Amino acid sequence: MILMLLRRLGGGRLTEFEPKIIAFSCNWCSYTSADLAGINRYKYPSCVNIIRFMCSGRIEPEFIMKAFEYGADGVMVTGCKLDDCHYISGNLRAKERIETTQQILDMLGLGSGRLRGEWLSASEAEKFAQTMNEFVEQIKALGPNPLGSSK
Amino acid sequence: MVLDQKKEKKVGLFICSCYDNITDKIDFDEIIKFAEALPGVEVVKKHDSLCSVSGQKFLSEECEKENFDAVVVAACTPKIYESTIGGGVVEGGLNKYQYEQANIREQCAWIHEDKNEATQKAKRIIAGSVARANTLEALEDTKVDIIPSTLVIGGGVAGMQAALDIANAGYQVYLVEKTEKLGGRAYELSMTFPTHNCGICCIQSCKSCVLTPKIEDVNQHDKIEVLLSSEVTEITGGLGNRHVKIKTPDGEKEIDVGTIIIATGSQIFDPSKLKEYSYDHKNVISTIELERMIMAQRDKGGKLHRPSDGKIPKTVNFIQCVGSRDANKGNPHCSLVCCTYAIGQAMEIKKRYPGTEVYIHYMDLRGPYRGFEEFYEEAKAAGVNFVRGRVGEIFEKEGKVILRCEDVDAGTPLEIESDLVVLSVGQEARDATTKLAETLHLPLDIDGFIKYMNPMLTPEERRGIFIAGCAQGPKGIRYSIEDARLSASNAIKLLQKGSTYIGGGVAVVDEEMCVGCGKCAENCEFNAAVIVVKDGRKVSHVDPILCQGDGKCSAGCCNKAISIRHFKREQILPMIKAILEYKMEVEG
Repeated sequence: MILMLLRRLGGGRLTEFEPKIIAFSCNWCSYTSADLAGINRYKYPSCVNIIRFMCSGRIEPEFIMKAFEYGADGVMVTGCKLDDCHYISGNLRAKERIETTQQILDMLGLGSGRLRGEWLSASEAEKFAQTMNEFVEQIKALGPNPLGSSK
Repeated sequence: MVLDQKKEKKVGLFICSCYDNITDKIDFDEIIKFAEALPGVEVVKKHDSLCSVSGQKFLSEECEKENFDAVVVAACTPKIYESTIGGGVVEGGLNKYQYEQANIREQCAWIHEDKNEATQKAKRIIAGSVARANTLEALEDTKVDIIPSTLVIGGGVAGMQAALDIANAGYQVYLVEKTEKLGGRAYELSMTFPTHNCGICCIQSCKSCVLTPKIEDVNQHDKIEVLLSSEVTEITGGLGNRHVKIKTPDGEKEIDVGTIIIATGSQIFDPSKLKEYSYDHKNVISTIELERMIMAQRDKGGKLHRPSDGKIPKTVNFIQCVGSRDANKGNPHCSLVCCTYAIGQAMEIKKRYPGTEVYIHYMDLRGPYRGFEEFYEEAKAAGVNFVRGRVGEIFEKEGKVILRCEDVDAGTPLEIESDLVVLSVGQEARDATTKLAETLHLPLDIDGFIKYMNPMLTPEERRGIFIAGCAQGPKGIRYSIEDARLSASNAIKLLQKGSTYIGGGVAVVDEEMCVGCGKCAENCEFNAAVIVVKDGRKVSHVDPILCQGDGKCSAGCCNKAISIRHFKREQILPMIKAILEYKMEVEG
């Protein structure tokens, strides 16, 4: 009801806000689970944009920070299950880097909640879609990226 | 960092309708109008099925005609048709690394209901892929020669079979066995399923069986060098060319091999870990010990004496799942062979001493093999008693062994006095295999066995390494041999080719930027990145044969000196930028 009122008044960011999400996915498990989500027609918001990597271990903190600089409201990193990396330990490295980057995001005032790591097997299509739905809701609650909106 | 390309590239964009699978949700007219304005894009064309023969022909003709620097195909997931559709592009004269596939089917058209939403997202995906295509460069795959020889680790039934198959194909085989004789565990068994007689592995007194001649075949083959009482101590190198150090009784031996077959097998669960089963009692034995007792008596009238006093046991109880299907104290997995061998041993005892009562205490009987059901019926007819229920405790009372157990079907708790208790111990991952897997960078599963890369498609090649038999999980003899033959035939295929190619998407070092800190070497588990001294300063050096292209090194490099070809910073950042900037334009 309040949302509707705000929309009518044309004010407030809540109504206007459609987040921009970048998902970095590893080739072996999580990108496949995203494909499987498509095959099974599991829905998640279209604001999620997936970029494929060979391994989540390749994902640099810089890519995440640049994504925020370019206006992303949230960044999701998905990799194989934690003890199940195609390259033995790439996802463990990724997890460490995500945790460090989350601290930086907190320090910068962007908030660590804008970055999330999720570890999925290739068959967990439903979980992929569910994770994306949750994450989009979470970003909507956080509001737009203050850096992004200034551009 | 160079984000904007200096030289204008010529990019071709082809969109595939997938016979309305994609066009149902995405407005192609809008996409074409949008894509034509993207930087570098000179040609935008659509097709109904780029993965078909006509589609590939269309692509290759277009590529030949237009002489593109890079091609983007917006279609299905690259996981399925990257090589097929990309094949058409390669046919048209492009390098396979100058091809980018934008996934607008699985990750767009099939997800989003709203046609406008899906079309907007498809535009973003295509904008990202085109931005990336503008940065792609041609790469060469590395040709690797395969040394025409094989190392087989483990001289059990699987190892011997693999060695024989490869040697018969004409390649030199080195068979390394830790113990002083070939045959492995099969050599310790008195009789095997399903013949329950002088089967494929009964060796001690039957000259006509199969294993003895097999051992002889291996020993006498002029292409097989058998190294007994030997252990592999070090393996270096990569696909096609591995240098192996072996500790033999005659000192250290060094060989170079093209392929490796791991047939190290499994080990037997140690029942003394389960205190409640009183394995330290003389009349509580494991199934392997029972096998040894039967074997030892073979030529002496076949008498079965119990260990404590040499009497013939009047009651024998078999306890199933000792250390198997027990996540708390043993292994969570099913060992697969115990039900079968326990029934075999129970029948053997019943056959020799019809008056002896034989019980098998089980949870479920698992024998997914041809002939198992008949085997089970035969045992029941012979008078073997099957009692469903786990045994809680085995203890000694007044010099007698007592079992405290339960008959689940009758719903009654039982205390049975037993002359002899046999613990059906399961197979578990061998410690030596774990060590070997670490050396060769093979991932292990949670049960400690070497992991299947794909649980359905086995056995598969892992950079010239193949797994055979129980190193990859509990298996019966027949299945170990099947596994070995498949692994051997895959190894032969690789050996016959003589050479293979390794993808060009490997790490590359900018030596000017590199300070030789060694972080990349620390992050690389494949020993591909090492620090070397070049012109008086330390720099990182990458071996393209060992590199797997995962990029842990690159993400951890503080100087941005090491990068992964095809996934360079300059190839990823424009993609992120293009995807995010598209939205901003719409918002105005």
